[in-house]
Amino acid sequence: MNLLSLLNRLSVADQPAAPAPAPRRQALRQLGQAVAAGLPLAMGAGSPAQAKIKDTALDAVQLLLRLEDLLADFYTQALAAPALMAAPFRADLTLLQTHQQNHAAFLRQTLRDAGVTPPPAPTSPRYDFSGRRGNPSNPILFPTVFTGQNGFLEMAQQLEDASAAIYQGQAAFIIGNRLLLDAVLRMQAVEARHAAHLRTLRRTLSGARVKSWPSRADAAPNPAIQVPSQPATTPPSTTSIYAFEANETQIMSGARLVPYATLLTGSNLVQTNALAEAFDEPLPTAQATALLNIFG
Amino acid sequence: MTFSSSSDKPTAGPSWGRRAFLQATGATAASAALLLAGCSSDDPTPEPVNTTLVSLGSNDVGLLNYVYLLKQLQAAFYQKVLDNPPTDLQAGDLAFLNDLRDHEVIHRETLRFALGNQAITTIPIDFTTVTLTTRAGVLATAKRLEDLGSAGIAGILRLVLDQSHFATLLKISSVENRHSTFIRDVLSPAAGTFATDVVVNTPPLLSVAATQTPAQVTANLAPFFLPLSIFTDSLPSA
Repeated sequence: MNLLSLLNRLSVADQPAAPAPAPRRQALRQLGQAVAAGLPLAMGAGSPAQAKIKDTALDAVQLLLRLEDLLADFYTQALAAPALMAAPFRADLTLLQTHQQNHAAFLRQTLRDAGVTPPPAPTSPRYDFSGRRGNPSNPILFPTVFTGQNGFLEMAQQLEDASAAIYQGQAAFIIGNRLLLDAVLRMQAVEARHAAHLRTLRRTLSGARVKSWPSRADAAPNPAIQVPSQPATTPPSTTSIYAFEANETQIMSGARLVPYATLLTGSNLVQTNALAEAFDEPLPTAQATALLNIFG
Repeated sequence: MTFSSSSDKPTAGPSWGRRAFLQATGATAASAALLLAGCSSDDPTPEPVNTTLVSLGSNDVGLLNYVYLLKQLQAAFYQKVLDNPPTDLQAGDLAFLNDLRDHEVIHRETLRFALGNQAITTIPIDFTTVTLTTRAGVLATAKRLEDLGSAGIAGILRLVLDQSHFATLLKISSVENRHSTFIRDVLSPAAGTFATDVVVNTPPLLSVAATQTPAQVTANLAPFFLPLSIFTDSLPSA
């Protein structure tokens, strides 16, 4: 997030405010003028300086495009990796690559339609999946991503689980534009399918103890992608993306906590892990951005 | 479109409900003749219909009742299978059937709670048109229900107004897609089948989830609800 963009976000939060550059203004209007479902304004944020950074529909589309570019490159690099040439799931990789490239193409066109010039489609290899952020002197965080099918599938599962969760988080900022929201929701569903299938592949090909949906019964990935803890701690700490999936509370109809302790009794009794499994959780913007930054 | 925040309006909960279409209240089962009596006068004389209509209601209430109906069916299906499992189940089948049953029960109860006294009644499910005595029959029905659940929720999710309803239904939708994918993987591990007819191109949209309207979904599922018939015309559509 560059400074200009940050300033614009703050000005959007404080409308009517100092003039923002016209292209961004125009884009925001066309993307539904969405200031996070009315949330920031409703929360009574005082001055922009005190307000938290605001998510807009434009920010959401740009974040999702970055995500899709990264995923497309991930599969492109996988298809080129010698260690995966004989992998039994190569046809899947081609399909997954196509889906992500298609999603990226749609998001690029969405930006163009809104008067924003999108970043050009990256040339592979563009992202560094070793975790070194393109700097050979940094430590390698993920040494086995492209050296064999087990390490690859473990990273693929995490990236696709994260993708489904990032889409969920960003969908809330696109609510002002139903056509775009419909597209984003239907891409989210496809990301969830990817994630579930990669979990099936891990279970059946790698013998990994994972279900096709995130579960506390899953063996934790190792190494796990780390994102900032929420709530933030002092000093800052990190956590796996699956910490967010462990949530067991849901809110319905305004602010009513669903009382599962009384609902799930008698013939409605469920297994210990079922409550967290039954809901895929969103990954907030801060964690989504941190995750994307790991890979460049 | 207005959207209430979950944090700033503690009174938002009841208000969406009170505004709801009256026919959504309680277990509305009106006779077809009564509903058809409201049709415009230039309609020809309606054919006599003997089925009993269940009206889901309008606005968010209607959409929640629609998903609640799907969840009633899915939960009842897995429960019935578990109560009397096919003898040819394979190792591991019962574990995932129990997981799926639990998830659907949780979804159903979440919606029942949110709807309160505007929830439709518990619909008796007729399973006589599907085979539940063989593994193949169970998996085929599971695929049908999870595919339809995924496409059905994808068809209405953008129309949900209340922020908490939207967020929770999106969480449920995501898991529904995982269920559908999982069953497809169990049925056919071959490459690509997890995303064949459920992922479509409808330019400018590419590689997005297929959707079905409430009318399409309930038409497909109609045999499960007999002798009741589901009235979806009052649901929002745009």
